[in-house]
Amino acid sequence: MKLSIFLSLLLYSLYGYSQEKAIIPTLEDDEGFAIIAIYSKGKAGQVILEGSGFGNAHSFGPLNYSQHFSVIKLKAGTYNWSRVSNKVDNSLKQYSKLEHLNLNFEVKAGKLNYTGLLMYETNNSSFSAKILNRTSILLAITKQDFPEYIDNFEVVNGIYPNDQYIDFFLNKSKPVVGED
Amino acid sequence: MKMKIFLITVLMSLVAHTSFASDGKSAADKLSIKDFFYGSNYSSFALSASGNLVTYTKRFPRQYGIYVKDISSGKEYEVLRADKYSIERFKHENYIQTIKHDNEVVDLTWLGANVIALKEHSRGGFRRYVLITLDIDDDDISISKVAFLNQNGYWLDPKVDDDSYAIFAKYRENEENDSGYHVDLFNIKIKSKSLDSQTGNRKRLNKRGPKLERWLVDEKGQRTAGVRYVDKKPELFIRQGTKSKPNRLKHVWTGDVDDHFLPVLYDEKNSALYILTNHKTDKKSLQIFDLSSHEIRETVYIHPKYDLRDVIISRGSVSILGVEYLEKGAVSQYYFDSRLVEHKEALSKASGAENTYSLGTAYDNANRLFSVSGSDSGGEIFVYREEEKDYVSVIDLKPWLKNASLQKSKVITLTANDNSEIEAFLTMPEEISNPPLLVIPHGGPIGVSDTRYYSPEIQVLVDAGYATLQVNYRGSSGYGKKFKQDGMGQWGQLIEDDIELALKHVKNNFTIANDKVCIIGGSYGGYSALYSVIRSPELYQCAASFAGVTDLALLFQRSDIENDDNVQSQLRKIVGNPETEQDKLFKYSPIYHASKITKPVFIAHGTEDEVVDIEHGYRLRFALQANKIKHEWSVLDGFGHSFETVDQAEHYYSKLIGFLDKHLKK
Repeated sequence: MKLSIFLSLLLYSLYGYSQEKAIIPTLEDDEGFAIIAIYSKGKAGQVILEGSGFGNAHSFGPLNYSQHFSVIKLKAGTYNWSRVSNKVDNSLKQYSKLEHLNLNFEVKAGKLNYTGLLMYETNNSSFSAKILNRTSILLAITKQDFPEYIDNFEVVNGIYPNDQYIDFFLNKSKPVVGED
Repeated sequence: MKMKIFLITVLMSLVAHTSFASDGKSAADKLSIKDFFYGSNYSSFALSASGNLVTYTKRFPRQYGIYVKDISSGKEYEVLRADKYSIERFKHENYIQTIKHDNEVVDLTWLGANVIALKEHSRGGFRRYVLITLDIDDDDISISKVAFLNQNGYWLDPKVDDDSYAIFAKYRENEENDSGYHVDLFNIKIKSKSLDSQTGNRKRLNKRGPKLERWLVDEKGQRTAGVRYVDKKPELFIRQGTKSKPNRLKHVWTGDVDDHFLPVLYDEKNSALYILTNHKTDKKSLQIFDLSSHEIRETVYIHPKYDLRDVIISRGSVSILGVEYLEKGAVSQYYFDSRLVEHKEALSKASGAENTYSLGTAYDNANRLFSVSGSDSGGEIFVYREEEKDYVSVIDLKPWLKNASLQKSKVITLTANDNSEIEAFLTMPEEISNPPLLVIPHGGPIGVSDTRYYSPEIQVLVDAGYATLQVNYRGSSGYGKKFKQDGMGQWGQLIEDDIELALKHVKNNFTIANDKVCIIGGSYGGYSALYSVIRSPELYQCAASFAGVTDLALLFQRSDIENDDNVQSQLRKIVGNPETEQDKLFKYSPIYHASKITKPVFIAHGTEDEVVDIEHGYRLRFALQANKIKHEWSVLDGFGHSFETVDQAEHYYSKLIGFLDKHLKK
């Protein structure tokens, strides 16, 4: 699916989430919610997210010129998009390692954590990955598809904690510090 | 190769090289938007050493052809026709790799009297060299042999008389050099079928010694001097052999940070080196480096206003013929040899063109290849023949523009409050009194300039009835170090002061509709358009942005930029420091002041823009919506940071002209 269709569909179409109130899972004291957004230009069998602690790995996909968008519970701490795997055959997997790209974000307990968009691109012989800061697009989708989370939790920036844009986006009528 | 600093080299130049014009279009037909944007079907012109043959490429929808024109007879020979789209398969141990090629010729070089080296790219990157050996008779030119070299690099041909060998400079990765590469030299037997095998490590001419980015070689192919950049400083090496090590290269000089330094040629006595440099000077100039004292000794040529951009060297690197610079937006060549001045003047007079400049010369400098062009012309290629004292047309580059009503750009020179000289170009539509005006800041903003060559973006808007104003504001390239430095960190500030100065001048001195002015642009130009209607709403009736920056801090917020210290460092100089200058970046970002936008704006952004992410467009969109400010918004599906096809250009310019007509022609 083209990236453009991702943008327009998720912004303007109605998924099931917006038609009925979602039940928000309960958070433990050391847990927060994270907005997970991935777009893969090319095949990505499994996109792996790793946090600290045993068993704190999460897998998303498969994707192939398509997107993933969800809000999930994560333990507070630092996370890293560590690798993408693709099946070669029944017993063999091929890995694209991402650790050296420093694709990290933080999750704060009790908050709705914005984590950016992981953009993965591959043409079989090479790959690239980066985190893009698409706050307005992703928060607009979250407001549309997961409004209960926006309404009930403070949104924090898990990739650029000092960035003022989220505040500006969610409280647009208020003047921001520094404006003359 | 290290990640390049794409932001500072981004242009709004939108010529669609991949689309084809109909050569059969009638001169009487009115031009469509697409017609302005079609690129020429011809490119890569090269004059043979004899001066009698010109080779060039012609593009077809699914093929390309290589042609040789005999200047004496006027006959054109097609020597090669190849497929644009091809498939290559590589057999590996467990699988077969298939690569789909999208082939394009980017350069043609004569090697010897009858060999042409064709540089082929695929999907935007180097693919291979194709060496074509020709059979040249009195009445026929045809191909006798083809060989392939799958190594990226460039050719040096110091031994013009030798048809058998040429020096090949092969790029090799090298993280120790700032550029990320060095060059190894090989003496290639060019008529051999096997070329790749001649570029193995054992056959390097530079087996020992420094790994440099650029070499000078003598007529025997021996290295004589070279340069590399380390920690942004140029290091010069010259051959200072001993009995036991005759070809030893010694590091003799290091320049300052950010110096431009290019060794060009030895002098006749081999006691000094001509160099193109801006070491300790504001402008790039031609200077002499003394090989005894290891110091820059004297200036050969310096222009008071412009950087030199090239040195013109004779065939076989025997002597310096002149220098080249961009003057008032067009290439100007100053010749040291009066004979060459005569060639140029004769052609300029005969053609009546705004601009003529030499593309190459024969070995004896008798015949020269010229480009003849102007802001109101699609361009033509000529050969001037000294003996016959005539000029022969090789190709009309864009014949479908021949009888179109294209308009010349005027040059305006202004002085800012701090005495900086600003150049601007004004283009007026024909037969329209008091036309509305479009101010069009270029992209960049650093290291980029507008020129006065044919610009489809300008001519399509002028054809639509608008005057256009382009400003080479501070930060633009070609005007020296200080002028470029003065633009650093001046987003929304001194850059826009320069633009408004030019606008004021035009309003006071030309007959335009002073109350019908819009500001439009792409990338930095889009930013400037949006910020200008915020800072100076009284000056403009509307604004339009394509791929415009709307949040300065957002430029830094992507992982690939964060991971590259060099890019980060350069971006901070160009824009500001997001850690220590957060307030400044906020102050000059359009989105945080969107509530102050009181004039109609048109925002367009491509979904595949990898330079200025579409998030910039969406942020402004949401801010305008939140403030209930009407605007026009266009998500351009599949568009990147510039237009890759004429269809894309047509799509955008149709919408833009519609927007402008609505607000400036009601």
